Amino acid sequence: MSYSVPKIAGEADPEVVGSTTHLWPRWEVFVRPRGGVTHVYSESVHAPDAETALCNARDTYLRRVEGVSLWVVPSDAIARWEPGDDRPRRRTEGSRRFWEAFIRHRRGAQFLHAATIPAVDEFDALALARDTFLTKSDGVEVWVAPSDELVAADPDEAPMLFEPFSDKHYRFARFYDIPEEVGHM
Amino acid sequence: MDTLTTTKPLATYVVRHADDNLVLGQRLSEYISWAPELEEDLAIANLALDHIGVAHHLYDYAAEVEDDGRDADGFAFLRDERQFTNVQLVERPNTDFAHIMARQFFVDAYQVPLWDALARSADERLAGIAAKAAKEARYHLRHSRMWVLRLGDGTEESHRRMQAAIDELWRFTGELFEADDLTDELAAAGIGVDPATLEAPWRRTVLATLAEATLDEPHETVMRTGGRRGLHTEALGHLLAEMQFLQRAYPGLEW
Repeated sequence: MSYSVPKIAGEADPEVVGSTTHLWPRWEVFVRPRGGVTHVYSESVHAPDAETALCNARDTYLRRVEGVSLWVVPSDAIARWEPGDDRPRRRTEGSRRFWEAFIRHRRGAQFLHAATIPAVDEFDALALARDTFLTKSDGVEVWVAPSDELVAADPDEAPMLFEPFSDKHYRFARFYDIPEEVGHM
Repeated sequence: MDTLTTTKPLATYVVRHADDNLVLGQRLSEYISWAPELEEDLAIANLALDHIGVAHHLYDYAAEVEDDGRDADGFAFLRDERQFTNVQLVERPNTDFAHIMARQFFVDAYQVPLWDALARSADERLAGIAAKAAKEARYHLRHSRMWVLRLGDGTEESHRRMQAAIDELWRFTGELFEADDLTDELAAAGIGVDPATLEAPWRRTVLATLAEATLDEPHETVMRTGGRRGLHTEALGHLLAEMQFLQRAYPGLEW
């Protein structure tokens, strides 16, 4: 079995050393926390397919956050914009499809799902997302991905995916008493 | 009546299931940092914690029922091999990743109907623990089934290894469905479940998955037995020696 290696903008070619893990495509993970109004970017996982990606995302990122919804998006389906990127805004004529737009307003701020927007292509979607959600002075990262590339965990499976974490307080560092001698950690 | 672990039938019954989960949780935790990828390492640590968490709830309850001054740690750390009543399947070693996932898959396919049935127990406390465990077991089964499929229907090497694991562990699965006087008594009281009733749903899950994974159903074989009576394979003693060392060397140590 072989997998194509997704090329990620700005990232060196993956180097394979003694393991084939890196040959698995990368998936970007978004979690909506309990009480949260939107999905928040939670880094990535490697997985051979969407089902495995959802499992890996659940096991990796829901230990520290009480989530109520989980999305994964193949990394190579995402188009990205950052300040300084002056690619032409090509507004191609043609039929529109839906895109998911993700925005980080300031450095250090959470990277949030902003909206589902209709656009012709990735350039159109990036431009629309910037025009709609950013002011001239803010915005450090914008991602768009076709909505049909996004895979959401089945809401019917929420009890099995999310509830088992809700009463496990030992997941959090504050569960543990730090001996005085240790000082600040 | 079985008085291997405690003189109270309900406590003995609860301890059986606690032992299954503690031993499996300990076995899984031995593997942490050895998984084929980082995400899987985290998944296995989660599995281990889930199983140890269920064991903890069950031992706490058994201790209350027994009411003899023994606590959960007493059950976990101060009993010898012959007093552990887990099925032998859960103590089998981490031979390779395929064995770990095959073992997990056989256990998960059993625990989903087990916890579902016990969630309807006339004993409220047991039903509450089972209802929580059922949610975890559903996810565990999703995870292990996924790996049985991926490895079975993967490369020639992964298929060979998964088939070998299924064949090797098959003879330990019969014990999951053995009834005895204790299960008869508690099932009749509406508290426990007759293990034999879990075999049909288990076989449905297992056989459908094997077929989808292009794996062969193992040949009929003589099933191993004895775990519920404290008879174990060589593997359990080594596991307990490591798990119990601290409490044996420094009795009552807390940290």
